[in-house]
Amino acid sequence: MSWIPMISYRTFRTYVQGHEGAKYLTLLFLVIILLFSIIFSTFIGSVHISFMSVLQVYGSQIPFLSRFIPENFTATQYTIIASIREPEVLGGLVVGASLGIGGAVIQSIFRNPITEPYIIGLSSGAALGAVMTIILGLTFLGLYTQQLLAFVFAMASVIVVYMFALRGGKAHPTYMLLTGVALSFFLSAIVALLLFSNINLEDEAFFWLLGSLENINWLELFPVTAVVILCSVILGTQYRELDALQMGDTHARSVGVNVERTKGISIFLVALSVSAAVSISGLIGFVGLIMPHVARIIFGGSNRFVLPGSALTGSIFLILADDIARGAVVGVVIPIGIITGIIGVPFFLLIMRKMAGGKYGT
Amino acid sequence: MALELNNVSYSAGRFKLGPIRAEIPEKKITVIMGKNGSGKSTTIRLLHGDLKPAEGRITLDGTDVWRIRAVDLARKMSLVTQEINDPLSFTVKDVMMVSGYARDLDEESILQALDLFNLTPFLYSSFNSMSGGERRLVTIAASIYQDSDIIIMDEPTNFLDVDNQMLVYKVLGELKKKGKTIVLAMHDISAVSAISDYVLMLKNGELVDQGPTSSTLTVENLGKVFNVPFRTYETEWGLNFSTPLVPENEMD
Repeated sequence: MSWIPMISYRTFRTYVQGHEGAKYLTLLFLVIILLFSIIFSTFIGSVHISFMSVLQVYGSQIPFLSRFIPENFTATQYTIIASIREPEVLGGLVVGASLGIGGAVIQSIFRNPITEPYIIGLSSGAALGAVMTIILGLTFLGLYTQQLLAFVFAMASVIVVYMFALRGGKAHPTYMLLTGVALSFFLSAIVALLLFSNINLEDEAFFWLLGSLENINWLELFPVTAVVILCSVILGTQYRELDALQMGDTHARSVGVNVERTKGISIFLVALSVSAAVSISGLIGFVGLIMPHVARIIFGGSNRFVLPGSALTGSIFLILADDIARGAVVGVVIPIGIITGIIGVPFFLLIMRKMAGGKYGT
Repeated sequence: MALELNNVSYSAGRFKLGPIRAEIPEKKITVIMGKNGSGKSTTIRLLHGDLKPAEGRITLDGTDVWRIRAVDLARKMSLVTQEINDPLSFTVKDVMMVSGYARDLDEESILQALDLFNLTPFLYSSFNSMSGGERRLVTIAASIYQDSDIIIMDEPTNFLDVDNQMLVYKVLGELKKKGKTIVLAMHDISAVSAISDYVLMLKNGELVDQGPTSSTLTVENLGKVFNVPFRTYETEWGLNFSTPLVPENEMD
């Protein structure tokens, strides 16, 4: 009787689409799920720490509130939670949000549902930076040479793609996509060449390419979080411009949008935010492509809700996928990129088939 | 709101347009006519400042149109383009809201604009799953919601059934009465004759003739523009234009 939940879903969707308040409530609901995912994911791990202790460690880190919270945990437990599990879980939050928003923005600019931040050269640029550092053993930027080079190469790739696509002051979406895909192939070939000629270092580079939240620490998480929050807030204020761009550049201009400025600013901010995120996580696929669609299925197409919705669903999804990466096989952490693909794609195909209805045309 | 073309020319590759000198009459319906590729759409893009003329000026109240900030221009001029994109998961309301970018949100006006085309029940319908004709009507309603003094439409009645074409013509007439200046690119010659006040006739990028519809939309001018013979006949609904259905030299 699979039609029974479908009827209730349709009723829910029609209701949510027609009521602003229902959309805000749904956002709030996602925030609550996110908080639960964070606490749950901090709870699971190879060393058992009670659920209450996890809550108390979190509570003790919140200014003012900490005074009222009993501290029934040991110093070791505190270290495990605060130094190992928290940065990994919060890293999932930041990376997931960055990829989710980035995907929603890029899909709006290119008016294309199968685009994502990686398509404009971001991922292959970051990959080249990281793999080069590993294989050539570069250390000239200190402890975080790999992250910094991944970031710089990702930004540089996007800028090259954008400049290449500029014709008469306008960056045409089709040129940008083609240039992005072409440059990605080129950079990936160089990465493959580096890997091919250094078989003994393949492992480390290979793991970076598959993505992982495991080794994120506070020192790298802080600046990345700052960058992602800043970019996301500014992108969030651009939702009307991004909506207009979906109707076509000429239409957007005719309703009053400064098209080239919006595109330039948005692409720069997405590049900044996602480059920062992947510099600490490696290449985690699927989130940027799919989470905006999940948000659209829940909230409808306007970026006013799609942007925060993609950030929240991206964070929740990545945090839970990381739980599976850590917990699926005892003693082994599977690279999270593998999990996002294997678990996420069938899940998405299912909800798209069942719930998207005629939203993408009939 | 004086929209003027002052010796405007434009070229892209082998295509050349102009020079055109014309003044779009205010609070009237002006139609740009011509064959496919004669420069109608280019003229519309120039009028809207989407393209910059190679020579000459297109001015709105004395300022070059392409220099006006997009948000200021949107308050004075709206545009219905020929092609309609597929915005991801938009409802009809989302499409209308986009056209309200340069003005304050006014739900009442959104409903009024949709009501002109009996589209209010579709407010929360998926825009992408509508038919081509319905989508066209939504974009026309959206341009009306934008509430600018000048409305430019490129082939507004394409894809529309006869009844909806009549509805669009009726709404255009009402807009004119409200003091809007309307510029259209159109194919249906009988309709041009019925609704327009002024015509610009283009052929291969050159302005063949311009003037009030009654004196300019003649069999001679149409013959020049389209290279086929035209006849007119009076009907109880007004003047009708017809052409032979097959070239005359092939008729026996």
